[in-house]
Amino acid sequence: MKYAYYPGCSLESTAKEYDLSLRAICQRLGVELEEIPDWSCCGASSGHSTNYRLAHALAGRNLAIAERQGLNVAVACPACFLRLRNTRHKVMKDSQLKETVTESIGLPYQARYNVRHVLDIICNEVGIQTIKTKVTKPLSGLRLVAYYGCFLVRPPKVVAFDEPENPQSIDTLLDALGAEVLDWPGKVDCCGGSLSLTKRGIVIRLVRELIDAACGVGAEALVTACPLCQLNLDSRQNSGGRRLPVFYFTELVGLAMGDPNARGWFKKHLIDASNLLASHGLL
Amino acid sequence: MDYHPNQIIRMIQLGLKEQVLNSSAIWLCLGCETCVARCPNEVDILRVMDTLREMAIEEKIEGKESVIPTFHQTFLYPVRLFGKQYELGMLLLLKWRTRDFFSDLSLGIRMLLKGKLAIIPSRIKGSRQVKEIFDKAKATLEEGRG
Repeated sequence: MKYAYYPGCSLESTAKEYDLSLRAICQRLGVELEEIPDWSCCGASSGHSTNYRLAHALAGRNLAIAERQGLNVAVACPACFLRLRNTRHKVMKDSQLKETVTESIGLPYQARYNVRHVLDIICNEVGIQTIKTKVTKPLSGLRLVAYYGCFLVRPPKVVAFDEPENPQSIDTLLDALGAEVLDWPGKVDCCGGSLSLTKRGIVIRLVRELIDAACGVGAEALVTACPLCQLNLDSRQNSGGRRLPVFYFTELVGLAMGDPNARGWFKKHLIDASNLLASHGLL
Repeated sequence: MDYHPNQIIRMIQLGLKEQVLNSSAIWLCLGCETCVARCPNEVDILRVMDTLREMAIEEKIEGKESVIPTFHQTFLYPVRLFGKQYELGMLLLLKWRTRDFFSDLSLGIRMLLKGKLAIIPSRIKGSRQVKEIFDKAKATLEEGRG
């Protein structure tokens, strides 16, 4: 099982622990990630918010390079995932856009290969049964809520691997790791994304609502697949109130499989998770 | 947010161009796609919002939320130079451009200490190619304006 891997900018900086834990578990699960050579930024929301052609060309460059690798693409950041998947989706339907993109990037692009999120690959290609057989340290007693945010599930016509209103993939995965997975109402609400840098008050309010909802069902931590959600939840929780650690799903898969490097990943979090994990005998 | 997505669509139908392009809503919209996913008429509201933002930039309308278009511009600046994001440089440039020097300083320092922000930017080999992508996209916008 081999993919052209697109890490995206966050996984080299604010979400380094996501990249490290993802690579570690992929190796254990037999998923080979071949990094897209000389990949560039997908433009994120600033690209599509300000220039249509720019947004598709920035995503298209990476897709065109991956096409030369002859592999389907695996993306870790949901924002990058949607940018890449959206451009492929539109290029397949719109020959004029296809021409614009190839002209902009100076490379051919036929939209031949699929773009998938690593969560989809782990849940649906590797499979939950395989994961179960690799768990050596079950996360027993750890009460978790799965937080999907926006781009893993929306727009459903483009991303299409889980339910848009009540997704299950992270829940099912955490359940397979032996954790106690709680149902909660915050699953697909937005964390406020990049407004964290310009309209802090909005993000602080949205994060408070999410944390209140998670505490309301008795969760001890949140689990996400998105670098921006993780950063906002990790950095914008009220310092006065109760603070919940925020994990990447890959970190918990690695922990449950007994990866010796897990401690190092958690050290990169702003909200300390070591007490919680130690209290369940997991660290 | 001064107008909800459905109100923006109705205002467009009514031809209220100036009000729409001056609204906070077009900049506060994060593109979370919730309205797109739930719209019973399958209107691609995000594509409409993106177009409105592009129109506001073309017409040099700053509006009430000028800090947000400034952020987008600042976010894309290192990408044009290096081909990738350079978070620390972007954050410092944003502080300079918005004259907001003191907020989140301790958060920034903690992130530096955790190794979450690179001090030195990394440049991709094809950064010239990325710069050309930016130049061509900008030229298209300017042609459109003419």
